[in-house]
Amino acid sequence: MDVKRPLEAIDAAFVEIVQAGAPAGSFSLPDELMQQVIDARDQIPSLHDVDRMYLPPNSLVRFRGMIQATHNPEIYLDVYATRGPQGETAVHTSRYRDMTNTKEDWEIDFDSQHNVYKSRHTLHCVPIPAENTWVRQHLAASAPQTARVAGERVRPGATKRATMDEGDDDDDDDGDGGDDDGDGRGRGMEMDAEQQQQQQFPAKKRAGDMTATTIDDDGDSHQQHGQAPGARVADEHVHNLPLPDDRTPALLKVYGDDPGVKLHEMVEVIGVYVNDPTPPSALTDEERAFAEPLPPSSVLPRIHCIHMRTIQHHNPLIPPQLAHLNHVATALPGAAVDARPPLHRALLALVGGDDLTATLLLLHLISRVHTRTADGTMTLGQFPLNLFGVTGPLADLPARLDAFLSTITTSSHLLDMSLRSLNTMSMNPKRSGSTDKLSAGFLQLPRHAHVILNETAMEAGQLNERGIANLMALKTAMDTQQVAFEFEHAGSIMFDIDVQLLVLSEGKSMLPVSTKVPIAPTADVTAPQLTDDETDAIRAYLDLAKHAEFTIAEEMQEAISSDFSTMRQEDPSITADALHRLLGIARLVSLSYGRSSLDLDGWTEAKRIDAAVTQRMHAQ
Amino acid sequence: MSSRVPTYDQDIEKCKSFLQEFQTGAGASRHFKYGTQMQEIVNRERDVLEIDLDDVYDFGSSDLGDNILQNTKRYTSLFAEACDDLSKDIAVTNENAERTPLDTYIQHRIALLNSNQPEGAEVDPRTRYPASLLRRYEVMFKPPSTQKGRSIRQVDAKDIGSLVTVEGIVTRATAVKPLMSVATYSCDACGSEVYQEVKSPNFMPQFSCTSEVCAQNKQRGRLTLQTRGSKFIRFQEIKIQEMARHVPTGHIPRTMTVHVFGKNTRVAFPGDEVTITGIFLPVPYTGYRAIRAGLLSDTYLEAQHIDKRKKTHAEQSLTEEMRAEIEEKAGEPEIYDQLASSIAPEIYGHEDVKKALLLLLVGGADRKLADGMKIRGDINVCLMGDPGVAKSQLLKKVAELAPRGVYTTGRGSSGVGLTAAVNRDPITKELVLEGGALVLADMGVCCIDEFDKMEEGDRTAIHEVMEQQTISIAKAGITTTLNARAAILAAANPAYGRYNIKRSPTQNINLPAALLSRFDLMFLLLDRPNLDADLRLARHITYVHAHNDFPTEGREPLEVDFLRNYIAVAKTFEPYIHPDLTDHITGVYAKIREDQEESVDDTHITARTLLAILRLSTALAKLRFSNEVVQEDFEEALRLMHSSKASVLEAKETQRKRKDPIKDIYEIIKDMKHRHKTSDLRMSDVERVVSTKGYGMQPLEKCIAEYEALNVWMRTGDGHRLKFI
Repeated sequence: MDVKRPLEAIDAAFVEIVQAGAPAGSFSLPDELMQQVIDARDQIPSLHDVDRMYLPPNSLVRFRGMIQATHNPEIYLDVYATRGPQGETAVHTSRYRDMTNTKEDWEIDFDSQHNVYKSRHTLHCVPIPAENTWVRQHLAASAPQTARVAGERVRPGATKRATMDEGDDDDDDDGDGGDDDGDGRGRGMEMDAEQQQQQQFPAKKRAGDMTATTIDDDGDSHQQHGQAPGARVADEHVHNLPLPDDRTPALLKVYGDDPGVKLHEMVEVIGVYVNDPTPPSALTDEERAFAEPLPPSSVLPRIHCIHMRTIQHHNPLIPPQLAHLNHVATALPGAAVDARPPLHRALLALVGGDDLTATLLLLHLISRVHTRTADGTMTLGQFPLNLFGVTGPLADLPARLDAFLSTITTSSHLLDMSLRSLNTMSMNPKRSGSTDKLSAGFLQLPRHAHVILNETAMEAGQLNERGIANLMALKTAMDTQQVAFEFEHAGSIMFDIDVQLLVLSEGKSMLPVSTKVPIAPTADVTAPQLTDDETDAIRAYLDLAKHAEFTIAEEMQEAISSDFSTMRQEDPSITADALHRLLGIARLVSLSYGRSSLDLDGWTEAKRIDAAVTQRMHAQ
Repeated sequence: MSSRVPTYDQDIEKCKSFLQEFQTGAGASRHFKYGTQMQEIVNRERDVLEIDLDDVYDFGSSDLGDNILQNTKRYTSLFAEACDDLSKDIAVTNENAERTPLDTYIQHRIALLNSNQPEGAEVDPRTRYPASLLRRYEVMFKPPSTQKGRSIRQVDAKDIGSLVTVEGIVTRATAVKPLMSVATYSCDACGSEVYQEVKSPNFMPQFSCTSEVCAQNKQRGRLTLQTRGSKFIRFQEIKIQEMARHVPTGHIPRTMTVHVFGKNTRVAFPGDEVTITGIFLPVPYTGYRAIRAGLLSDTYLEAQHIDKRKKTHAEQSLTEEMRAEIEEKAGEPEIYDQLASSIAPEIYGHEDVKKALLLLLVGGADRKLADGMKIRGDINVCLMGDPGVAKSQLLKKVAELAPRGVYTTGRGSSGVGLTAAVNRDPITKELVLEGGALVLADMGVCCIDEFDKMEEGDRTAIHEVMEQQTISIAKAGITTTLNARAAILAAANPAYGRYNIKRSPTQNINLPAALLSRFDLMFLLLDRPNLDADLRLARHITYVHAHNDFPTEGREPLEVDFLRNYIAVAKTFEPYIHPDLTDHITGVYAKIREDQEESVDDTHITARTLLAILRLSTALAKLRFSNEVVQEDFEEALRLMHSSKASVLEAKETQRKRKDPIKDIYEIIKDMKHRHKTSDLRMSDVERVVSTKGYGMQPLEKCIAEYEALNVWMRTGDGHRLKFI
C-alpha cells in the first residue's frame, strides 16, 4: 500500500466487496490491508515530526497522544450513491475521509436506497502533555529518514512562511540531537513565562501569542526546528490543551464499535490525515451558532483512524507493551542495581546531602496508583510529598529539581503556585453550558506524570473563588487521584488520574500533603553529575519500577498485622492511616531496590524512614 | 430506512379509519377518543392532535404502529392530511371560538377569491392555500408504553427517522422564538399571493412571482413578504446531556440537540431531568455546506413529548428479574446483616453503625394522627468521633445510596446554606427563594458533615427540621413554609478535636441536649487501641496492599443497584405494631426508665427514645417486607439503641477500669433470676436479654462456659435451659 495514497487501496477493496455481492453497508477494512498498514508503520511519518505543509492530504500519518475529551459521535453517510449526468449510478464508501470524491458533474443521490448512515466516534487527542524533550528526541531519532520527509510541499500559497522554511530545512534534516540537550530547565522557564503571560493578559492572549510566535520564528528559529510554524498557534483555547505545547493536537475519528478508550489514556494511531481547505469563515454565523464549536481542520487536523491502540507508557527505553509483565520482573532487579545509586547520589546533590529527603524523593519518583475502589472513595499507591525549608541555599530547588526531572522522567511539569496563577488558571476541565465548548484543565495529565508545585511563589493576598476551587481540585487530586470534569447545569463527573504531586515550600505546605518533611542540608547544593549511561538507566528504571507488580506473602501480612497492633498498644495515636502509609513506603522501598515482594528488611526500613520523618517533624 | 416502501395512499386511509373508528369502552359508554379530539380541534378548543401509539397497537394495526415508529415524520403529515380531510365534515359546535388575525386574513382572501369566481362555482380554499397555513393544530405522537427511555449513548445512526425516547438533563434552552412555517408573499406586479412552506430552520426566500398572471404577462413581479399573512409557530432549541449514571466510567457524557415546537416549548429548563420522545432527524444542509460536508450530518431530536422526570431512579430501573431476586433474598435469614455490611464494604467493621444507616435509608413509618399531628418516620442518626474514622466516607456512601441524597457540610458550600436563602435573580432582578441542602433532600437523606461547625442560624432551623420536618422562612417579604421531610445523618467531631477521656461525654460531644435528643441513634466512633480489633484492622489493610483488592468477608457484598432497589421495595411497606406487642413494649420502657434512675450515666431516656425505638422497629419490619412489627424487630431495635448508648458509655468507662463483659453478663443473668424468681431460665430468654444489653453471642457463650466450670449453673434440656445450682 502506498502510504501517501491509502484511499486508493481502500476504494479498490470496497469495489471488490460490492462486486462480490456483499452488502455495501457491512464493509470493513480487510485484514490483509490492515496488516499492510501496521507493517508500514516505520515508513509512515508522525504528525509531530513533519511539517504539516509537507504532508500530502489523505496520506497516512501516525499520531501519539492523550485523550483529552470526547465529542458526540458523528452521523455520516457511510455508503452513498452518486448519479452521473446521463443518469448512470455508482456506489462509494466514505471511509477514512471527510469529503466526497465524486467525479465532476456527478452528484450525490441523497434518496438512494444504497445510502447507509453510520456513526463514527470523535476523540480530541492532545500531544502527551508535559512530555519531556528527551522522549521526543528519542522518538524522532528512531524514526527512519524516509518517514520524516514525507513529500513535496503541498501548499504553495504560504509564501512568507515558505521562504522561511527553506532556510530551516537543514535543521529539519540533521536531526533533533544537539540543540535542546540539557535545556530542560530552559524549557520549563520558557513555558512558565508563556503561561504567566497568558495569565496576566487573558484578554490579549491571542494577540500576545501570535507576536511571540513571530519573534520565535524570525529570531530564534533554531529552537523551533522540526515543528511546523503554522502549527504553532499556541492559543490553547482553540487547541484545548492542558498545558501549552508546540505540537498540534488532533481530532481522531474512529470507525466501528465504540473504541472504549477512557479519558486521559494514551493512544497511538495510524490513520488518514485530512486537511480540509475550507476556511472557517465559510461557515455562516448561524451554522456556527449551535453546531459543536470545532476549530477548522487547518487548526485542528483530523485523523481518520485505521489502527488504534492504547499505550501504557511513553518511555522509549522500555518495550512498548508491558502486558507480559515478566519483562518488568526480570529487568527491574538489574535496573535497580544500575540506577538506584546514581539516582540517589544525584538527588543527594540537589538537596544538599540530606539523605532522608533524597530517599523520600526517590520513593516519590517511583510511586503510582495501584489500587482504587470503583467509586473513588479510596485510592492507594500515590505518595504526595511536601519538602519544606526551601529557602536560602535551597531557594532555587524548584527550578533545579524541575530541570533534573525533565531529564529523567517522561512527563513532568513545574507549576508556580502564585496567587495570580491560582486565581486565573483552571485545574478542572469543563464544558460550558452556553457554548458547549470544552476547555482543558491543568490536571488532565498523562499517567505517571510528575508535577512540582512551587509554593515558594505564593505571596500573601486574596484567593478568589476560582483560586479556592483550584486548591480544592489539588486536594482531591492528592487524596483520591481524581479530577472533576465540570458540566454546567449538569453537575460534574470524576475522572481517574495518576499524577504524582511534589510540593516545595518555605514553611509547611498549606495543602494537606500526607508526608511533610523539612529539608536539612548538610553540604553545599551541587548540580547532579550523571553520565549518559546512568541517565538512560535511571529513565528505564523509573518506569520499570512503576509498572512492577508487588506481593506481600501471607506470613509477612500476619507479621505486619501483629507488629502494628503491638505498636498501637504502645502508642494509641498511631491510626489506620499510619499503617496505610507504612505499607505504602514499604512497597516503594522494596521496589526501589528491585524487590517485588515485601520482606522483613523492607518493612523495617519503611518503619525507620517513617520514624525519621516523624522525629524530624517533632523537632521543628 | 426500511427496504419495504409503504404505500402512502393506503396508509392515509388507515390513518383515517383509525381516527374515526378507534374507540374505548363498549356499548353506551363507548368513547371515540380521536373523534372527540378532532371535534375539539374544529372548535378551536385544542391545538394538539395527540396520537397514543398504544391505541394504534390496540386498534389492531401493528403494521401501522411499526411504520409510525420507523418513519415518524412522514406519518406526522399523513395524520395531518387525514385529520384535515375528516374535519372538513365536522361542524363547529362552539361559536365562541376566538379568532386570530390570520383567520380574518384568510377569510378575506377566501371571500375575495369567491367573488372573482362565476356564480355557483365556489372553490375549495384548500386547493388554493397550503394545508399547513390553514391547519390549527399539531400532530404529536405519544410513545407506546413498551418503549423504554434510552440514554443518549444508545441512540445511533440506525435510529434516524424513527421515534426514540431518551433521558437526559437539560443544559441549555434558548429563548422561545417564532418560527416561520408558511411564508406568504405578495407580488407587486399582479397582486397575487405566493405561499412557501418552510420545513427547515433555514429557507431561501422567493424573490420573483410564480403566479399565472405574471407568467402570462411575461413579467417578473417582485415578491414582498407579508408578515401578517405568514404562519409562525413557537420554536425553542434545547440541549440535553446524558445523565451521569448512564456514562461509563472514564467517558464524557454525550449531548443532543432537541427542537421543540408549539406546546412543548417552555416546558424544560436548564437543570431539569427530562425524558423526551422525539423523532431523530438529520439536519438538512443547505447552500455551501451541503457541498462541503455532504456526507456528514448533524442530527437533532424533534420533540413530540416531554416528560419532566418525577420517578426516582430505583423505580425506573427495577426490572422484573431484579424484583424476583429481591423477593427471593428477602426470605433469607441473614439478609439483614448482608445488606448492612454491603454499605461501604471497604470500610472495615462498624457493623452496628452500618445497620443503623441501613435503617435510616429505609426509614420508619410516618404516622398522621386524627387530629392532624404528624409523627415523623424518618430516622436521624448522628456519628461522632475522632478524625480519620471514615465518618465522611460513610456519609458520602449513604448520600450515594439514597434515592435523593444530599451531602453537605455544616458550613454549607454555597451561600444558600442548609435551609434556604432569598436571592435576587441576576437577569430578571426578581427575588427568588432558593432551597438549601435540607430542602433539596426533601423525601430523601440529608448528610451533614461537620455538624458541630454549623452556623448559629442553621442550627436553630435544624431543630424545626428534625422534628416538624419543615422550614419556615420569613425573609425579604417572603413568608412561607418549605417541606424538608428528610432523614438526617450528621457527623461531628468531638469538642476538643479528639475525644478527651478525661472529660464527660456531654463535654466532649458539645451539642445542646435539645438537638441531641432529636437523634434517634448516636454513635461514638472512637479510635482507641484494642488488641483484637487492631489486629483485624491491620489484617484488612495489609490484605488490601497485598492483593490490590478489598477482602470480602465471607460473602460477596451486594451490588449497589441491588441495595438501592431492595431499599426502594422495602420503603413501600407500612408496618404497624401489633396490639399484642404493646404490653411488652410498655413494660420494657417502664423498666428502662426505672433503671435510669439508678444509673449514673448522663444519657436520658425520654418519650422521644421510645418513639425512636418504635421507628427503628418499623424500619426493621420493612426490611423483612412485612407490614407487622414483631417482637424480634423490637428486640433488635432495643439492641441497636443499647449498642449506640454503649459506644458513648464505653468511652467513659475506659477511664476507669473497663468492666469485664463476662462478669457483666453474669450480673445480667443473675438479675434475671431474681426478677423472674426462678433458678431455671430459658436460654432463648437469656440470649434476648443479654443481646438487648449490647452483648453478642460469643461473650455470652464464654460467660456460660466459665461459670459452668465454677459450678454456678448448668445447662439442661439439650442446652435450651440454664439452671442455677
